[in-house]
Amino acid sequence: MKIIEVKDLKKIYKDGDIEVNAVNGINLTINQGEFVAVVGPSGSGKTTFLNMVGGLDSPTEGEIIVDNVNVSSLKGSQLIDFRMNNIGFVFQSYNLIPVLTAKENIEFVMHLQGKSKKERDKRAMELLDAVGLGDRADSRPSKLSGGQQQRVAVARALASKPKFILADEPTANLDSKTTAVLLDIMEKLNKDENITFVFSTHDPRVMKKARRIVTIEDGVIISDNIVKKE
Amino acid sequence: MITSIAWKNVWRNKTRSLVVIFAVIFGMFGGIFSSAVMTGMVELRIKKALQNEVPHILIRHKDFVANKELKYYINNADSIIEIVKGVEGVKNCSRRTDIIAMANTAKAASGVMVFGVDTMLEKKVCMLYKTICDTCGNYLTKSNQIVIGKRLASKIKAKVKSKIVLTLQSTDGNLTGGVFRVAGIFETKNAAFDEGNVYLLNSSLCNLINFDENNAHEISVMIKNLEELDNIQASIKAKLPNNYEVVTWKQLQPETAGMSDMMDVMLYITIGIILLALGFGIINTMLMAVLERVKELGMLMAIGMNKLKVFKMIMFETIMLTLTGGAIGLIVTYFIVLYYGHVGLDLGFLGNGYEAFGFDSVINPKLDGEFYFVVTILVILTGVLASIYPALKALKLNPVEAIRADN
Repeated sequence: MKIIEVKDLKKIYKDGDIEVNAVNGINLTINQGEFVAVVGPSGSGKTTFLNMVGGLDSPTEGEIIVDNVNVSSLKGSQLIDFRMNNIGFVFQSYNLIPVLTAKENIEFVMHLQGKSKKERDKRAMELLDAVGLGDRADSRPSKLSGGQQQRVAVARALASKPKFILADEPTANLDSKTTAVLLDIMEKLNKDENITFVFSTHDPRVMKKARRIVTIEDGVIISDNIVKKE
Repeated sequence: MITSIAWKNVWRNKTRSLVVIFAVIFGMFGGIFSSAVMTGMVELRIKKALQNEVPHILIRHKDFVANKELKYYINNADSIIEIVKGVEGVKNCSRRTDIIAMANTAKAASGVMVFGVDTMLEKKVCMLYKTICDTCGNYLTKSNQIVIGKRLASKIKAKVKSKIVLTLQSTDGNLTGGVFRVAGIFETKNAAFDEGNVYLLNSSLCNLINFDENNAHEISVMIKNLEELDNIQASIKAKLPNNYEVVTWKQLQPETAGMSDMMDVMLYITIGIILLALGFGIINTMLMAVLERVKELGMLMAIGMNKLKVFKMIMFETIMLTLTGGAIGLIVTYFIVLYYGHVGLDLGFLGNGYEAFGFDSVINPKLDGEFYFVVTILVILTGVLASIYPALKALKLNPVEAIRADN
């Protein structure tokens, strides 16, 4: 089942008279349950591409259809609500709210969705258990290691029951051991719960785990390889 | 949850928040306490004025005030007093004979207003006799006695039992005079009053100026409840002939009466200026708080926090920060005002300056509940207004750029 469909996507930045084609006509389809790594050198356009897929940036041309909704046509609060209910974000530097505990960080997005306290409590604890941090529910981010913070960030991304998770260089700040633990958790969630993951990365450890590698260079896809059969 | 996060964010940078909170506490204390001192001063001034200087209501011939001529008197004052006493709410009445005179001692002279009073009646409407200290003599008991103010005594170098010669004009237009001994020296803390007024027995003064004792220049009226002042004034006026004027203490001393209203305006201006200054400090602090959280705010917007919620969060933070300082400042000041209201605040080192304007040097700071309520509203308003700019700054953030910001 198609979860993301990208058609002729272009993003042109203007710097005075100079136009920069950050994304230059990308077509891509990602199905439910895929574990995709979008790779490419710095400045290749992969982050811009993922920002547009995540509804954080708007395309100059083309369409992004997520679960039959044309994301590129959404504006303002519609777009914010769409992101909240359909996309889970994992950022390179975790970006947890430092004044909230691990559990509260996970609950936060559910609070924005208007979920009841009981429901929030239950799901937050389930997700913490899923990322192996059930015993750190009341710890603030400052008391967690980088790897633990990123696992909380993954749990937070899953809290809203999104259609897919967009992870922007999630392992860039982690050491090998922590990266392995995090990737194992994400792989497990992908396999067990059929959650779609799309990574932006140039970390070979992530690429090794990915089952599909989309390589972008100069704003276009230069290769799209299924590396393991599902 | 937004409220909870906002509160936690207030304490994210404890030092910075505490600096703002203490600034608000000291600002509130400075503004409110000085307001309470000013209010206490004014109330005390009014109280003293009503006790010693002006009656609640005064009845006089309508032409007397302009000319101070002896011929403009109240005919058969006792009958008027009887009428006035019949008005509901009137407590006591006293009658006076007034005349301008020159008071001389061997060393100096000064122009004074001489009041001829009936001691028994006067003590029921005017507490001036209570301001004569133990070592300053007594109130009037004999016909050749005079009671003068401390400032006049100092000016004309008179003491208790000193001789004072009063030179004045009798009803037939001739200059006349009399020698009096100082029976007592009063001190009201109103230097101008103490310098300009002296008291004789009414019989002595009438005899001296050849004035019929049955008549008087003014009738002082003390009422039971000052809240009823205007009503009682109207009732008395309705019962008296048209050639008599019935005035309240507010008309006799408009500058004293106006102090209260003027003080209210001054208090709010003072608090307004303090809150304005604090508001700018709070804006600066909140702006810093927003700018150092750009990345986090970007993340919040990315994961689905809409602009209204972001705005509310920053606004709540600002209001909480302001209200924390405001509430502590209000409570602390309330108890300090209560304490000094009870024991009095001695501004003795400035006493002479205050007394020149009729103020006592020991002040009992006082503020009514309404003022605290209005200040609380103003503090909240300051918080709301101070939050707008930082909150708008947060709303202008672009999630994509904010997430990649350095902080």
